[in-house]
Amino acid sequence: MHAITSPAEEHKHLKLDYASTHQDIVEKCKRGNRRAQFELYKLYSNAMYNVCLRMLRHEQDAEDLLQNSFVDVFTKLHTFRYQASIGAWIKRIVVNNCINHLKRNRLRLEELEEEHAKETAPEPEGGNHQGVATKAEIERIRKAVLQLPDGYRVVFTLYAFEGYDHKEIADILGVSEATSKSQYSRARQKLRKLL
Amino acid sequence: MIMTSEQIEKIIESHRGHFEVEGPGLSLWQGVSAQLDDRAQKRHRLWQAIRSAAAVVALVGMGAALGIYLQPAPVVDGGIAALVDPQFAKMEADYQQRIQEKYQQLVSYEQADAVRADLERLDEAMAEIKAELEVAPPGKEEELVRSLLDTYRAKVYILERVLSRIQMTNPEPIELGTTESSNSLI
Repeated sequence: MHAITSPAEEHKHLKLDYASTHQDIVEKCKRGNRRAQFELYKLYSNAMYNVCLRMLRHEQDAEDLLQNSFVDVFTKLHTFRYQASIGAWIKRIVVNNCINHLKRNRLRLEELEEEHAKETAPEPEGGNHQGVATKAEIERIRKAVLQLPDGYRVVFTLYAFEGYDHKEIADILGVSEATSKSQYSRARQKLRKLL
Repeated sequence: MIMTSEQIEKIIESHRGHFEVEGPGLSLWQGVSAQLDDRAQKRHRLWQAIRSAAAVVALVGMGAALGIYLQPAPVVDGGIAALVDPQFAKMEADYQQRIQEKYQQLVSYEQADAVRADLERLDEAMAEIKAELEVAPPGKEEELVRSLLDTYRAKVYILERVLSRIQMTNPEPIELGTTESSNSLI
């Protein structure tokens, strides 16, 4: 016999999980169930807002993109066949929309590459930092990432925060893998300077 | 404290969740929900126009020559899709060309007034989309142009169906006195 759970209890078990398909919610969303769509929005909107903010830098742009991206998610959801997790699928839509927005505003990776080609500097001595950071250090890094030029910031964000590899980034941006790698390398150097 | 690139990466990897800031929360949901409603209404209106056009096709097929002479040859407009993407602009120009050709064939036949009414309803839908496109927020233009192209596709479909029915029942076109052009119905 199945135990009966209230919607509130049910929601406690739902957590943001990039490996989950949330099949039950997704199927209801596909049928246009607005309550299920709201559930899916609640699960992923904050994480996706952070993706938008890191990619676009400005809060208002991030909010506009987030809203349009969720409309796209629900109108394209009938094409989702569980080949990936629903979180990864939503994130790909959000990332693509961010890239399109930046491209309309003249995102040019190659030019940035030329401009900053001579900015290489040797790495400093590392000290004893073992990946444990204070709140202040995290905030400094977060702000420094937002100060990176568009091309650097996009590649750095996709690789370091969103977990895409250089081949995937090259596909998303329509550039070569080598360009993605060089942009990333220069982004790291620039970031270090900013810190 | 000076950090190496590896240390920065390590911090990001171990504290990914701490880099997240609080988003706009549920306030954006109203906008998402409103846009979804708006789209559903538009789709409904378009399908209504297509359905009623299909009924007209059937009517014409039964030989109901009730109509008036349609005005001839519309002119291809500037191509609003060009504002978004040259590829869309090319598709829009292709559709306009096809619509113009079909339209020129259609005006050489006697036709039911309802055909014109349905085409005008599609024009209204297109005018709405074009007006929206001019004030579209970032990221929305491509989707609107796609809706525009869907409407062109529907119009080509309607014109082709009407023409094929007319030609089956009345293969001889009428003689037209003038070839004035009009900007509507494309």
